[in-house]
Amino acid sequence: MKPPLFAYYRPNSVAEAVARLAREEGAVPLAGGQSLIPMLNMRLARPTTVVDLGGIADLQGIDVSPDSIRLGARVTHAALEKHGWPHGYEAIPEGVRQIGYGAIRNRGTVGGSLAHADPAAELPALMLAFGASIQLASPRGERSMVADDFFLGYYETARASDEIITSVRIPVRDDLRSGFSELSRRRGDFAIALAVAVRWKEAGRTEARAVVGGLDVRPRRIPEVEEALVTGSELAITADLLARHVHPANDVHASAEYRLEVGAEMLRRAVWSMENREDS
Amino acid sequence: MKEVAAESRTEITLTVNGVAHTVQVSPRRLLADVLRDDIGLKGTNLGCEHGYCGACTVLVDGETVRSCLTLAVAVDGADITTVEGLSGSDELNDLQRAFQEAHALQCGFCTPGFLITATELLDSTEGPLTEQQIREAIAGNICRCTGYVHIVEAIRRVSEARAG
Repeated sequence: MKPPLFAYYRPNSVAEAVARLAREEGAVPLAGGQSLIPMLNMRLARPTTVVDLGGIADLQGIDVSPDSIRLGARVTHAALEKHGWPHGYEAIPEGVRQIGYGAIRNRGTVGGSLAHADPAAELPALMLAFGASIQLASPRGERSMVADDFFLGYYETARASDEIITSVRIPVRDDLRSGFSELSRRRGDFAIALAVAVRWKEAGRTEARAVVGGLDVRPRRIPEVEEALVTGSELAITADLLARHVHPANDVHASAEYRLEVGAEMLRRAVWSMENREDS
Repeated sequence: MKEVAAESRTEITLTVNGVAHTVQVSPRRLLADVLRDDIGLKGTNLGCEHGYCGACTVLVDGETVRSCLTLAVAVDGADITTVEGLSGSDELNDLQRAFQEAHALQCGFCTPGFLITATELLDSTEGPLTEQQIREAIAGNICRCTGYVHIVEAIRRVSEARAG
């Protein structure tokens, strides 16, 4: 349970980091290390070089502007938890508080969690629900992707091996309301199922997102629920409805059937939480 | 910028419980192993070595960190507190005393991690703490013999005493 041999490189800039990743096939980026280091300890990962992003000032900080909230990729979960989120955005700190344990949240980062893309993780589902975009940098330049396009599958994203996440932008929207709900066996464990509901106004129209996590290879939107949230029509959120969009695995933690039932309940609770916030 | 080849070592300085230590580490050296084997502070225990059990929890710059999930080279210059440094003297501090009095330890393997985690909780959260707050804070520390009832009770007593 000790890491294999690897070289260590701690660059001061994004350009240096991605140049190294491009030049050396076996190099991997290290953010907070709360997923990569367990994988090193168990020797599931055997990089030639660990490129520590901890020395890059550009990846730090939370910047709030009138139209977006920018999270630097090296912002920790603990910093997200403590950030003064605007009214309506409660689902973000509520979901972040469910990530691992305090000691994990002190080190784990936004960029690391999104790049790792655990299908039961909180941040990928939250970023999908809030319509966030992910900024990536490589030697070829920068690009931005919406979360919907970024998550491809089981621990799989659109990030190229010589790319790093530099920041995430969460759009600031009018009249936004949100709710989050998760079930895990023990606080901080991986979710059996989690759900996020978000609704906002855009150019005179109502928009909504209903997202479930832990039920498939990546977080998924449930379009019928989104439609009902927009129109205000009655809709029973059931396991059968979720089964049209997600295909959960049977594993030691829960059967697929149970996960669908829990997923439906979590989504009902997320919607209820969103609808029943006290206005302040 | 810093670069260290896989089979070579680099010098790092850590301030551990107020004392500066300079050690030579390879890139793959974990902070837990530096504390235990290079500096000789065996109070920090290693259980699972992948972040679940919490036995290796230490304070790095005042925040709880899994020392088994921390590369020593990445925390060069950090200020670290281990269980040996909690009271700052040969006497037990109030939290350690409460663990003893409430029977919050049996074999003691998990105790350093619990003490460090409870230290961060008590220092960062206004008390008196609720049982729910205590249970959530220690969810990442596993005890396999005493059980959690007495551990929660010990932390609750300190929280009440400190809140006055």
